[in-house]
Amino acid sequence: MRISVTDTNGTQHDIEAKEGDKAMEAIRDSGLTIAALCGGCCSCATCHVYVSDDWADKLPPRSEDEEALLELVAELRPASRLSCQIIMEPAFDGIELELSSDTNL
Amino acid sequence: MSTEIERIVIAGAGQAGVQAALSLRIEGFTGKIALVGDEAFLPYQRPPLSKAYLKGNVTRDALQIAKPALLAERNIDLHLGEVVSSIDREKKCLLLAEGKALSYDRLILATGTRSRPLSIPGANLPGVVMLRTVTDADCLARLLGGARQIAIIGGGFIGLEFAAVARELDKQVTVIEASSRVMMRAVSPEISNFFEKTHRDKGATVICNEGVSEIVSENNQLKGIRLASGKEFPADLVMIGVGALPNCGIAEAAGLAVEDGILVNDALQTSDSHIFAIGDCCRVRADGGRHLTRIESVQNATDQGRHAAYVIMKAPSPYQAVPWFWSDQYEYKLQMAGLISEADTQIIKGSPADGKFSVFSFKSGIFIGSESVNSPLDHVLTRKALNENIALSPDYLSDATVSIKQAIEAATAT
Repeated sequence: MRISVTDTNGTQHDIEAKEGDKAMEAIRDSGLTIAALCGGCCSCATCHVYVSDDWADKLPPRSEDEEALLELVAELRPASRLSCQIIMEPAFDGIELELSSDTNL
Repeated sequence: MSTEIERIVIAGAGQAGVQAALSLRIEGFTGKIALVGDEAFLPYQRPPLSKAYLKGNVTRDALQIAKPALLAERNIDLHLGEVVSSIDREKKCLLLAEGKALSYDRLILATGTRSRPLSIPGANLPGVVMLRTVTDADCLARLLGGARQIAIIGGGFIGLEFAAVARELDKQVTVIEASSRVMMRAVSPEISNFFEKTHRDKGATVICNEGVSEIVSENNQLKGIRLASGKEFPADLVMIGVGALPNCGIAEAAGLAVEDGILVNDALQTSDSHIFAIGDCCRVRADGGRHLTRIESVQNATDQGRHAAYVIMKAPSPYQAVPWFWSDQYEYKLQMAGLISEADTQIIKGSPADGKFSVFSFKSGIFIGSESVNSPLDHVLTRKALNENIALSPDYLSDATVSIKQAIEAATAT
């Protein structure tokens, strides 16, 4: 399946993801820059993305941990998510994510 | 400050060195950047080596800090698999073992640490391993498959994280810690107690206050460990995790000030203002020399990498990022903010029995840090409080009905 990723320069990329992948891993493995300092264990907030309006409601709600870590981000929006907490499944094929400034290295 | 700088050399291609290189570009540096690393691999993250990577949940490529394409795009010259032999401060030149010389206008030392060796008989036997590099982790993962009885010397973060992985694979695990409690240098007694109990509940044997006198073998075949008290434990795999030593050899040989770490001022400059030191290898002198800290963590490495880039390109300014750290053991995530070794008052919120609690530390009435177990909101809130210098009241927080959130709100309202 595909993820549409807009990087922090505003460039859009179509990347490949497998079922069960964390979106963060798919983004990282595609070669795009995503700090993901803690390696995806929901301990930092450096994989913070914005989910497009069309997709935000389709994701499962944020966990308590994710909710807490989002307190640390530079610019919190209603569509803010940690991409290490988005586990890809067929229903998310084509999901649109925008990398936040927190993901910069 | 940046006008005359054309060449920057970074010795060390770990988290700190890579961050400094990338941040120099972000700060607008357009000259040459050389990044030298003694390992042959592209720069990688170490924290997963004692956790997900050992379990096979993460591939080696996924450990890469920055993809080759990014490093190429930012025009960072990689010198991998190259050992630094010395610094020629007069000629402003970093000399490599291969005979190459890299000239610099500014040099950043990000040389990291190495595993502290344990000089007891048997420490070099096959089946005795340390864990620092991805090569170490590959070796450990290979041995782990066939191992049944594992002895871990050192109850620090790496030893305990490895213990948890080994118990999850149903191996017999014995952890020997020389001091009176596990992770003693970094955490409060409450956190030590909680994790000691957790490891025991999960089936590991944890022994504190005991040194290991020998790793026992028969015909060069690993048999087990013997404690100073004479007790013996059988083992077919021994992991030594007794801390790390900063790599300051080249700094010291070049005449830079060194004291269990390369000494830097609060702008991360060594005793030679053209040379910076960042990450695990440096010790920051702050508060007019009173306060000296050396921190081994990803956060410290990346924040200091960014800060050194800022100082080089913009202006000297004090490094003051709030330290934070995490450790995963079994289903428990420990998150720490601030430095708590000088705490005189500690307040516990939540329930250690339920595996969800935090310890808030104060020194002379001033909030200095928190440790949270499966309580990320507490961690995040206190990190913000430390960042913003919010004066939390220990008296108010010690009221059992008051949450950390309420205490922060009360402190910011006044």
